[in-house]
Amino acid sequence: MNLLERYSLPLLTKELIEQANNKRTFILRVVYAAVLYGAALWQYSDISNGGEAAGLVNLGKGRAFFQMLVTVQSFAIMFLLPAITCGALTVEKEKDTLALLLLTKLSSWTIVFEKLVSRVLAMGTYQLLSLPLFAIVYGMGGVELSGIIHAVVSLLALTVVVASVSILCSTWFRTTAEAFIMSYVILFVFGCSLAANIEYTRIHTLRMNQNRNYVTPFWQAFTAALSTDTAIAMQAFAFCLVCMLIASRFLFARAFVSPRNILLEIFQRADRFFNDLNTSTTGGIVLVPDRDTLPVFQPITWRETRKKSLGTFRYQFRILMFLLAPLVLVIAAILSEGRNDFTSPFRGFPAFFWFVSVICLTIHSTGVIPAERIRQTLDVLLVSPLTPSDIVLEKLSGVRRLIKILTVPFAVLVVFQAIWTGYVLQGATQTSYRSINFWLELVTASLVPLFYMPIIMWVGFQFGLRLRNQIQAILATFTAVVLACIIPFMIVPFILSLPFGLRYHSEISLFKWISPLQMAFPTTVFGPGYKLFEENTLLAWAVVVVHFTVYGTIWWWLRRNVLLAFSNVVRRMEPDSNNRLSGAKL
Amino acid sequence: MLAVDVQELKVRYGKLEAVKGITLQIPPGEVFGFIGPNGAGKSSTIRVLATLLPDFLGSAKIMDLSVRSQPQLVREQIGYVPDFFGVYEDLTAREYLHFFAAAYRLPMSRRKAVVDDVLQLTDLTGKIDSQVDALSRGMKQRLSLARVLLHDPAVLLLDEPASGLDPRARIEMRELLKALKEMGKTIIISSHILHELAQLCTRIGIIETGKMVAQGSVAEIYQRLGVLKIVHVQVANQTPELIAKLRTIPGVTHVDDQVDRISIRIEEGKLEVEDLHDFIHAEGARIRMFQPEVMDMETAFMKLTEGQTA
Repeated sequence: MNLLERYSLPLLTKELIEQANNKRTFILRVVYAAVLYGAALWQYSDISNGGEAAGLVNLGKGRAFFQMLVTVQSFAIMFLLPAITCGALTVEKEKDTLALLLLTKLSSWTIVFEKLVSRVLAMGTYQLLSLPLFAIVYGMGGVELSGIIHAVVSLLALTVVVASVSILCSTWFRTTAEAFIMSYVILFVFGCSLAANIEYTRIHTLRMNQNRNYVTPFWQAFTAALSTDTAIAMQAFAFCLVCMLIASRFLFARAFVSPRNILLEIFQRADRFFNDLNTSTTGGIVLVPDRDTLPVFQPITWRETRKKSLGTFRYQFRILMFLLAPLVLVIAAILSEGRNDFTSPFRGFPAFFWFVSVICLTIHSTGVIPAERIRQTLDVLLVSPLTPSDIVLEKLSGVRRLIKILTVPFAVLVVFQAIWTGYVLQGATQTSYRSINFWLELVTASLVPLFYMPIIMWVGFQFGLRLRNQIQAILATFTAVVLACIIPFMIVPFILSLPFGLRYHSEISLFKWISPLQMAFPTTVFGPGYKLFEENTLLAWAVVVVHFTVYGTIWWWLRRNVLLAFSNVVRRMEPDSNNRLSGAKL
Repeated sequence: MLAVDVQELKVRYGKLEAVKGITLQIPPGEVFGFIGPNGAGKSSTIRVLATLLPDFLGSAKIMDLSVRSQPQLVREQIGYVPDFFGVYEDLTAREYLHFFAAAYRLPMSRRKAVVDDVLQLTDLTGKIDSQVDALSRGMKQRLSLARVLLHDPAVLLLDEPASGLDPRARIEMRELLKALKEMGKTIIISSHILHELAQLCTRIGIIETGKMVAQGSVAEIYQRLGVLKIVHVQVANQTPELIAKLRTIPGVTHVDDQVDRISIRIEEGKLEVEDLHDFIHAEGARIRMFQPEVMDMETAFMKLTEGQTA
């Protein structure tokens, strides 16, 4: 056996061939390039003031461009890489092919290593797309070559770290869905710990007001560790090595574990915990018992709301408590302190509520039809005399109830924010609650959850209906939400500014208000259009009306589209299929 | 009125033509067995009748109702058991049946009695409060049959109901289908367990590469294939002359001199088995074994098909 045969990496070769044969690889690459170059175009437009300041004037302005590039790439790695990596070993488990791999002469270490490298290489090809942009940045000036090298090394290190976490999850968990969710949870916890540390350092520094350079020991160590390229590379390598060792150690042990419904197990454990707590504190009082009845007229609704973990009232009530508890604590703290110098005491809560709401709604709505497909019960349901509308609307009854539950924290927030702004903060002047902006914000904040959440539900359901599995549907829904937020915010104003020669920072900025992001966070995503609203209240109301008319139409169209297309997608015969069949190519 | 009337049915998946003009007429009360290799077009035909395949050409009717223009009414008349279980494992057997009773809009006043009846028929009364998840494969399949009986459909479409079941469960399933046959249900059943179909079906259709190769009663199929009957003979004093003489008998198409026997292929109708016996005896051969081969469905299937798929 020669050296080449001995180290031929057959699994890596197979993985790369599979990726090359998969249409999805190329679609993703094109989408990635579109997002990256779209963002670059927008940033360039912003730097060059809508194209008015071109040429030599832009020299030395590469830093903002560079920062944007690194940020977009970092988010892409965090968002995309777990999705393409978490299935590396779980797919083998799901297809019962991991046993065949383990029977070969490939060691556990080799299997994990080759799987990891195949994913890192795939992500590397995405990052190569940014090289021309880095060249432009360097050409514009404002960034040192060492800075660019530092960024490239950091991005590669991030890639290796994220891929290692995902491979570890893929080794440990039985299904791709579990590995997918846990990869994001772990990375989210990492990210939050980092953000919390930065925020803590900032607050602590401000409070101390003595030494502005004061930082926590952890942060000090962290920043020191990331100061040189070698240090970054070494740490990423060490982290990767540890993950690989753990993964190869557990690959065999976790290869044949039975599939588990982890969500259900968590809920069941929570059930036992809360029941014990309830028994020990109240003696077992149950305000809203789950009735164990049989279905009467709407069987699917009955199953969705009584038998599914995410649909039952008690579980949804716990989600409500999870969201409300921190808000209630903050409200109680503010009221007890009696301070009125907080201008924005609930900063962060809308983002937290939206984060949880989008995740819960996406997971629930995208899983409605795939769950039937996995259990092979969809056909059985389709041959019953229920109409397509009955099936779709009843299937979504659990999600609709979840929407009602998720609306409660938003309502509490809106009401308390209104009271706070109107009566506490500016009560002395007695002008705030009469001002148009006060009512504008109140109306907007009330309408936002009422419109956006059903839209997310219908988008998730559409993707769950049309795509092969729930993971793809979840990714597609998240992508749709992100695109809906950034397209009106970044790309549309830029595109419109080109042919009409409109000034970017004036009238054209009103298009930003089509973005849900701008409407959900009007004060934090502070656009130039906001000043226009302060001067022209009629325009502000017009923008709000147009926005919700647009999203109301989208909502109606999505609902109509699903109800009309359902039978066609699931291939169920309907009387009105006749027209379509006359054109069937046979 | 025919229970099932299919005329020139064609189904295409992209470039693949799965069903190429099948015609099928099944009177009420018949049990029609659909036999064919994998990919022959059995499941596609059954799915068209179950209103689950809208893209087809030709006509398909159930109880005189057009599958194309009256699918909602057709669904009231059929009970479909797919080639997988199709059961909600998070429910009990009682909840599962009540779920479909509600889906089929059974009046509330009748539901409990109907559920009890179908459970008794399928011998699952003792499992009424068991989680579906905990039932054996055979029980799950019987539960699927209980489900399709809830709304008392005229036609049952069973796509390989015995697939994956152990011998005992298969026998139980066969007995259950016999009971349904006695109740006057029209049943279309596809299966790979060919000899079971022979015991159960009144008519057989053999399908290959999307075409119906043979169709008729079990006796008709046997008769049609009988022209190739084989008789196995063992004689104590076998000679080459005897073999040569056997080859000259009118109606004998082939004589195979094997180690332990002589296999004689005869054309039924031209030569009776009894005449062959008399001829051998007359030649002075001392017959140790004389065994006409019993024509079973598997032999018929193998003879009629070439093992191709659509």
